Amino acid sequence: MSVSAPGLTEIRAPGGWAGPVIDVDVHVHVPSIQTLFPYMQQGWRDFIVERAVGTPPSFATVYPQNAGNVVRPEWRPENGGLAASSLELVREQALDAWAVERAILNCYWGIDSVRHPDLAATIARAVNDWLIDEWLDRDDRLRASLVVPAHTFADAVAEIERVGSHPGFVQVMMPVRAMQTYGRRNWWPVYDAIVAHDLVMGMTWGGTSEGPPTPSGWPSYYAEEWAGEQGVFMSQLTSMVAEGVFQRYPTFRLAVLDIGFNWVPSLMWRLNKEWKGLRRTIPWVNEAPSQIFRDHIRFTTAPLDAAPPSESARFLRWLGEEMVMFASDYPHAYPGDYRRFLDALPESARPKIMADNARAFYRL
Amino acid sequence: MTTVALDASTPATRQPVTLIDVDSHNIPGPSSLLPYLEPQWLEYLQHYGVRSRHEADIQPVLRPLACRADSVPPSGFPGSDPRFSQAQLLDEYGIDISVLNNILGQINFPGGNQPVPFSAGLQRANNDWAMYEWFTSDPRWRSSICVTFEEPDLAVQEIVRCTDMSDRFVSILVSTRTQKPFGNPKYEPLFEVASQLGLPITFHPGGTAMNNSTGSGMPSYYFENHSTYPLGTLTAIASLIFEGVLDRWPGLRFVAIEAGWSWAAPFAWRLNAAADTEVVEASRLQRKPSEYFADHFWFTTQPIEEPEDPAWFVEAYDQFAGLGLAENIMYSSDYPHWDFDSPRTAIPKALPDTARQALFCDNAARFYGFGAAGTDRR
Repeated sequence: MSVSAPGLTEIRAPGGWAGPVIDVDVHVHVPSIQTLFPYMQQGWRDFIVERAVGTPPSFATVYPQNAGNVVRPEWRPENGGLAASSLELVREQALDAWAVERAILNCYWGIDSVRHPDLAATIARAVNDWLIDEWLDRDDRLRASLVVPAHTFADAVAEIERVGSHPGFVQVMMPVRAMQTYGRRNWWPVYDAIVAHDLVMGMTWGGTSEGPPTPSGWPSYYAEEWAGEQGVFMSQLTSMVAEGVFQRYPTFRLAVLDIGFNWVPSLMWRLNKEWKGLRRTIPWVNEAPSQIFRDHIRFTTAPLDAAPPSESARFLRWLGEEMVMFASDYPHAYPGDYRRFLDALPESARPKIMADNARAFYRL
Repeated sequence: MTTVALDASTPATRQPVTLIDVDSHNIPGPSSLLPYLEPQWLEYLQHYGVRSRHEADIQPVLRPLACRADSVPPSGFPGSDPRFSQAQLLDEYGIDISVLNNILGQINFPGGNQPVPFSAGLQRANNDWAMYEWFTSDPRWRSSICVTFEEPDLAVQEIVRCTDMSDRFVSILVSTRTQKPFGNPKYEPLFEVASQLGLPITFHPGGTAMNNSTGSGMPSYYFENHSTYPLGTLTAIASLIFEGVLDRWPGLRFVAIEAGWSWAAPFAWRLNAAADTEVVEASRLQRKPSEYFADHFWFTTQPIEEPEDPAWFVEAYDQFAGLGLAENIMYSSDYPHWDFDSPRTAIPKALPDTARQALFCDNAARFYGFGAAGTDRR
């Protein structure tokens, strides 16, 4: 077992970043569906055994377990188990390795691909209870996203009502691919619950929609699909701006995870321009989209993509130092050298990126 | 609002060529195509109409077909009158060459839900309309070829027919929303004919393709559709690279209309990250993803990027040019649409003269083979 992670663990090497670190995206994995049995009624355990229900299908299609980006080789458990599946592993490889002040856990397990509505709700409840028992209650540094069965809006609301007041949950995970664009009014009861519990909406990679992930059907290659997922994020942010989510919910907070930030200035400029030309068609959007982004939305450093550090610094300058939060995206494996990235930033930006922006946004 | 004098006609191409517009639109009016349809499809049209699925966006108020309010000619249908467009676009702005992209020809072919031979007949009519009413009215018009791109073999026949008719058909028109990402093997006949004829393939936003326009369902507002025009191009670029199309057809060239360009550099770096990470898939490629851009992808100016701080425009241009793309950006007007970019005012004056000369004339002259900059060999 090793903690070496080129480009990431060097953050804390001598001469590196010595200030506080808040890591807003640490992924954890449910080892197997049997792990969740203690958090279900006997009837559901029988249901699962009798029907041979396993890990929800999109866990493997969104993250094929041997794809290049899913786990850094040094983070694969020596016993062949699932990466990032126990607190001990995560402490050694992530929390202690870059000495976090706080870390936010995201457990993407493909619940969006469970079509049986009651089973989906059951699994979501079990995952949230498992996160409380096995993670949040055992390490004060941890916070987490709660998961919801998003195909049934009322069940998503009920799950937020059930556990949303737990002090460990700071966010609701909403995968970027959904059956409807996130601005649509059907989602608003979910947003009522998110806002009422003072939670953040965390838009993550993955999810299951009612069609392919691009406007032109299914990509063939995983790399192509991964790169093009940027387009779904663009659609979702455009939708939430256009439909007036941020006017209806003045305190709404949206964290956009797993997709970096290099692409955001270009989108903000286009939205501003289109808004100038078309605001009469969406009159409730009463301020420039870039202002909405700055007031309500934050992005993360992960992945840095293969942009030269000086260009990443330029994107950050265009976007604003307050807009980006450090995320390791543990245990995923992306290129990107955080030391060189930090070195390319103005000194004023470094503490904001590494901790201050997240502390303020998530109220940690 | 410009005043259009229909009796003032200046059909001669000015020399030297100084201003090329790579995207204007001719839009057939209700009766424009009737003379060019075969009798059986004329009868079919009269009984069933064009039923192809096209989302009925609520258009901006007072903007028929999303066109400028002053672009409606006396005949009543914007983009349908060659002499009106000539006066309002070419004469007014001193445009020497303009490439027509027939919007209805592009979006009315969804790849399904109407008889394929009917679609092919409509596309032949669209192209004949350009040939016999636009090319003959003014030597400055060029046109993309309307094709049944979801039926590539039929499309190839039409491409060959058009290029045999006139060398003023200068590219193949495809929607950004295709049935499958455009690098899919399904489209190989198009890559083959484009390579053989040296014709670029033009992506224009729109179409339906039987897919939703986002990866999470359909949007509600025109604003959303219009803001996310880059999406289909992102998808196509990722697909063309990772499917190996650009390795097998190294001469293929694509031009993205109305998609912007400030996203190209960050997206190229994202594609590089994907290749660095997914080495099993990327080992099939001959180059790093970003290295394909300069040889294969061209971008157009309209709607011109407007960074929050105008000083960032030149920074963004330099970043784009730094990827080797200084020759890969071309002025486009998008006439007669409501968001038309005037060549007089749209491009920031802060851009250096060499870059302005390149995007207003030289790049397009080279790209379309209009001859050396400053001449029109046709």
